[in-house]
Amino acid sequence: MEGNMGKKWHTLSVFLLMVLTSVSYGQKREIERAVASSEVPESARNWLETAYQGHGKTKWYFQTDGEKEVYEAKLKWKRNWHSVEFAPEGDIRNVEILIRTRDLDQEVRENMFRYLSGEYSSFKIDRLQIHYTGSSSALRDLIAGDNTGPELVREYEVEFVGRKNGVSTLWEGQFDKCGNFMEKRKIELSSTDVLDF
Amino acid sequence: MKKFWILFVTGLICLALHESQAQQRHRFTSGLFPEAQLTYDLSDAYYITHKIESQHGMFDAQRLNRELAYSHTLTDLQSFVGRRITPFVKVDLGYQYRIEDGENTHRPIQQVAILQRGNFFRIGHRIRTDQTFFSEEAVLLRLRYRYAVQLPLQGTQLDPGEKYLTLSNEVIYMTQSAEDDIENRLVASLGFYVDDNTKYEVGVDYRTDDYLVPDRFRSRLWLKFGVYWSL
Repeated sequence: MEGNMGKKWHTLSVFLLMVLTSVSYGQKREIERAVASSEVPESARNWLETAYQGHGKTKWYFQTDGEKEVYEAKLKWKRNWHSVEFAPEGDIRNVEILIRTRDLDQEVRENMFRYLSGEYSSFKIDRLQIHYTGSSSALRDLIAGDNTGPELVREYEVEFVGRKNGVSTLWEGQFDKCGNFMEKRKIELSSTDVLDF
Repeated sequence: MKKFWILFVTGLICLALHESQAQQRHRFTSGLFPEAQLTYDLSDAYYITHKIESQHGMFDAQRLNRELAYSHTLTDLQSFVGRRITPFVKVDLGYQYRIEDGENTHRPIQQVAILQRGNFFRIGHRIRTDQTFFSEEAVLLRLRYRYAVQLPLQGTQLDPGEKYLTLSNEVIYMTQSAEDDIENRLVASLGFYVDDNTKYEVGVDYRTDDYLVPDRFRSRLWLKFGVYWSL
């Protein structure tokens, strides 16, 4: 009798384990969490200290989509928010600077707005970032003196609401250094039910 | 965020006012406040929300020996139909049936909810009007504004399995038969974001009212816990 019960429990445990394993394998989980600076590779911290001399408070985050892993530092520098992305080994990958629409160069603004007003009956930019990629030294020079040399690749990441055929949609659009449209993807906001009722 | 602190400080001032008035006459009750909410889409633009919330009194400072005793205060059954105007703006029309001792009431509700995104948090603005109908008394009209901040506790965005903090303050102006009053609701909750379809919250809800009625100032502290589903 006891042996039978034990066998049943054993079978049930194996079944549950299989279900849990298959569920966790089936999900590709995007995770982003705050981490202590001590958890961040030393080379990343050193790069940040050298590039942003005398910076204020920095918050560190670890992000993964199940495949790619990055460390990200967020800090305010010269009145703008900067997001600095590092590889897991601590190598600098890119710098994103949050700006306002009025900070855009005229040519970039004109090209960007030409695309948006041509594509949508109305639009509103909600969030605008300049995305810089380049060598470690070029990115360091950028931060030190706002020097955007030719070795840096500059792109714009724009989150905007575009209205078309009576439907408003939130998009993340990528524009090149001149403000020409490259690509876009739809942004699904997480639910706001707890804030609405 | 600055607006939140202004409202939060307003709430604290209300609390201080309460304490000073409480010296004269203490009208304080406390209890449990469970709630459950279900939202589902009708189409890309339209959605339905059902909510049930219930207040259960456990403590009343005016009881002779201040003993704990259970009493059902009220239960609200609400349903809303909502439309997404933009990804950040929603408009809802709702109806509430309130079950309470004495008289059950009917209340149409209209609201606009606006989402604002920050670097590390989300802000929800809610402007609401409602009208409560009684069988004998005149209709009660209310105008409400709520400011809520949702702060992920483990990063800049909420991921499944993470916790968040919600702080909100709501100011309510009401008028009935040419008499008016103000109510304030300060809520702090810890949320568990299981996934985008399931959230749990536990928190405290501190309500003060009868500010404009002499010697009637009242406060209520509720232990709130809720579950929120969206399909």
